[in-house]
Amino acid sequence: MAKYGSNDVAFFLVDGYDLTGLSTSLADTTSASLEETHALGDSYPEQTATGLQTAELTAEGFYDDATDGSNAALSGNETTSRVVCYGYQGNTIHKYMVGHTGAFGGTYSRTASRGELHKASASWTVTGQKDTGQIMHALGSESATGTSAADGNASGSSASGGAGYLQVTVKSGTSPTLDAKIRDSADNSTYADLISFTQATGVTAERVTVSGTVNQYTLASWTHGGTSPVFTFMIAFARE
Amino acid sequence: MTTGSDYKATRRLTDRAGEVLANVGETCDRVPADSMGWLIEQRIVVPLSEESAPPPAGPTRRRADDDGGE
Repeated sequence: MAKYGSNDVAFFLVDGYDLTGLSTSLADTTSASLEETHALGDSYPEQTATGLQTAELTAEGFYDDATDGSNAALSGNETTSRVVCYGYQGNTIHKYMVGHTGAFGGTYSRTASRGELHKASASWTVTGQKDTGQIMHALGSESATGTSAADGNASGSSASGGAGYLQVTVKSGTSPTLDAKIRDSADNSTYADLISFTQATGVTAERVTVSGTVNQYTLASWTHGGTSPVFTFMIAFARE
Repeated sequence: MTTGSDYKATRRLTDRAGEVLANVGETCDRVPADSMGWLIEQRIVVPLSEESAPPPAGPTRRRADDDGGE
């Protein structure tokens, strides 16, 4: 077990917008739906889990109207499903991260107070699933095609599929393209494509799910196209 | 003896470094024999005689501009 500080927050990404440097707090809450099941004759209330879970995410930070700032990321998108990723354990490969999709920013507010910088706050209600996965490519810049180090799942293969996340925050070059994949293997020798993300040409985010067997070893790879392409991106994978 | 030339890939196969061993539909001549067992078992490679391999479970994807419902 370990304790973590605010410097361990690796990234906070909303649809490819990197809000890490603008955010001052981040809170995610997962709650189970309970139903009262006490009846006549019971002396105390009784609750039973229905099996339904809901996730909610709130963030606060500084208001910034730069093109890649908090306002651009959050304002006017209250009814739009977002792909949100954040890391609590540092921006390091194979550390854990959390991903949400179907995250609707139900509220977004800008607050101006005397003697203070303007603040922005947002909360998302997640209609899809909350995934806890591992970073396969830490948020960072790459100027060439490459492959990450392999991750060997301690408990071997898994049978229930998984979800891959891609967040692209910065691109440069002439007609740059990025083809990112997650591959899996049972022997850490031969790998098969598991997830192929949609080709990225700019700031974007995507969650792709697969079903069935995910073999013990996984890694990420990326292929650059165009002239002098440079992308800053994060890839993660969560087993279900 | 299982040889890769008798099988075709239903998913693109690479080595750990990313070198392509077989694209979808290609024979698996370059796939190490030691890997063929699990690839056959999971039907990532199938006999050439099979007309068309059952499609592997396709990924579902959601981009930022999709509408949400799972």
